[in-house]
Amino acid sequence: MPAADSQIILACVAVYLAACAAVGTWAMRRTSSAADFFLAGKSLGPLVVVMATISSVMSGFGFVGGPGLVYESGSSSLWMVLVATFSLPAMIMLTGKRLRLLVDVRPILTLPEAVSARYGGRWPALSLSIAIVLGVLGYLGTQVLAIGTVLQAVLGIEILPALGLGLGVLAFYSIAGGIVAGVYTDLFQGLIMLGAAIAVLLQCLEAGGGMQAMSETLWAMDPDYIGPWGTRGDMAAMSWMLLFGIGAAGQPHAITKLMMLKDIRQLKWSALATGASYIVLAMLWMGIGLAMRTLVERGEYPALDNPDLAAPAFLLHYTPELLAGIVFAGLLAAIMSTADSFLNLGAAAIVRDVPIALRGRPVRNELFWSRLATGVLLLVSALFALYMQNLIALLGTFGWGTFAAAIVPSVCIGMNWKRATAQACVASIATSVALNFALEVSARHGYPLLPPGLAVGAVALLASTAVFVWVSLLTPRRELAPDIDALLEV
Amino acid sequence: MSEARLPVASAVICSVALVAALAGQAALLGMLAAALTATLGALGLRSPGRTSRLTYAVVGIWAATFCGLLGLAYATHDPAGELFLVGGFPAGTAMLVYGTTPLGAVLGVLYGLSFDREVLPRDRQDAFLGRFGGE
Repeated sequence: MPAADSQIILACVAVYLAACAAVGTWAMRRTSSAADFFLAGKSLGPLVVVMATISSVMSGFGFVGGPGLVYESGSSSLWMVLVATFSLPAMIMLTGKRLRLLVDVRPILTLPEAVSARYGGRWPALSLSIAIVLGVLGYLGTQVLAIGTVLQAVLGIEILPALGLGLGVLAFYSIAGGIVAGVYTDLFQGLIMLGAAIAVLLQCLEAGGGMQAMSETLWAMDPDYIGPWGTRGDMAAMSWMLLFGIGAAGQPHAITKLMMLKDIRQLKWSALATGASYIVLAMLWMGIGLAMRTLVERGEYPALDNPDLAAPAFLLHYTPELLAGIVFAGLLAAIMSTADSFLNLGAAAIVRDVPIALRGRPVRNELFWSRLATGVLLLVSALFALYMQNLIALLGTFGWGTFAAAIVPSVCIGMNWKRATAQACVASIATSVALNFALEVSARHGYPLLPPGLAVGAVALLASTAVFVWVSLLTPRRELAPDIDALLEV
Repeated sequence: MSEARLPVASAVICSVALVAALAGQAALLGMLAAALTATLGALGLRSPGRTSRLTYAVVGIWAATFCGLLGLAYATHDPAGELFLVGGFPAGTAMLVYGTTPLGAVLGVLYGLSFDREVLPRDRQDAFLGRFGGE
């Protein structure tokens, strides 16, 4: 990554890290129970929930990997991100109402607990907890690595001290303030990034001479690059549309935010607001990638060694220092907010979901153990990031597809269909984990089992959804608890 | 609408889409993805006995329009032909940027507009929370 040799950029990043520490200190005073630590005491307004949702979905990948993908393969990856206008509303439509009502009538703090309430028995919650822990480890590892890489570039220091500083701040606010600290730093970050994204898009258009001139340059280079499918082809584009358009409804770090709403009626316009806000952030993804490729193609900037350098290179060379500083701080914030969400999910799975599934009750002194589990997860993922990068890369790819294929059927359909059964829930989660892992490992070892371009997660999502419905119809219907039965009638 | 109809439709769409995907039929996969989104969207909007035919019709029209725009993207992209720009983008890409992207927002608007009458009428919320001890 190019070094950010600017006092203004350093100052922006320093202000952001100090703000995180301040929010952590404030949130610590508001966190006195496991309900506060995991669900922010169900006290959040719609603006906080919308911003926290888009911030946790738009991770570092959105700000670095996204522009890099556009730089490398043109329009292909736009099918991942521009579908947010319906993917995030679909998540709220499918899960918001019933999950939020459920936490009002049962002492539920996590998604596996909601699944346990819906289906009964220990296996649905246990299998979902295992899928969540596997996905969390991969996601956390990639976010931790990204925190180190960004701070290394901004501060010009080695990876170990960079990781130490970034993870120190993250550990402080996520351990002390739990999800309360996470969502309020997301609010701060989300609002700033919405403004910055529009400003950066204007800079992209100016640097590229306008969209028409950029399209003409890119069409002359390769018509497919700026065509509707990009250079990865229509199969990659369509399978990404499926995986990200529908799979967004299965991301636990986003769904869980809906359970934190103070008033369920605030869901009303949250669906539209979440999709629209995300699209504004997506302008960074699209604008930077297309502008950098245009500039390289015209010979105005040297070819990049690594597509992921597109965003930092553009920010450092084509935007005012203050704007670059804000976006770099926002980039760090996006990575840290996603990491914080996953730390919270992982801690919940370890301290609450697995013990409840196995022993029927949570651990004693839950808040203490949740904080300890958060710290241990962070340490383990830092060690993974430093010493097992191949495993991290595999699990990072595995995360989104596994969550999508495990949670869309079991939660999104299961919360809207009485006939869904516990056996179907377990079967679909097992299908998700097995297919995602097997297909990803075989592709990485040179034995691709799927047609070129077809996303592994899309296949797993289709298979697990079909398995869920067919197994539900083939297994005996179980009588639902009265509150769950009534919930599915609301 | 019968409770099982939408989940069963989802399973049928997924099964066909899986075959289409493995057979390398990207256009069909894209259209089935739009149909699946609409089916799941209708499932999310559904409130037993309250959801109107108009709501289902809007979702159906949404899916048909989405498929139409996908078809137009295929039809208008000709790498060997002349560059034809719409709003600064090649015509096929413009279908994505100015077509399917804003179209997606229709589902969010529909959810907002039908929230009080269909998705979660206040009387149903109060009755449920009143019966099961809501806060």
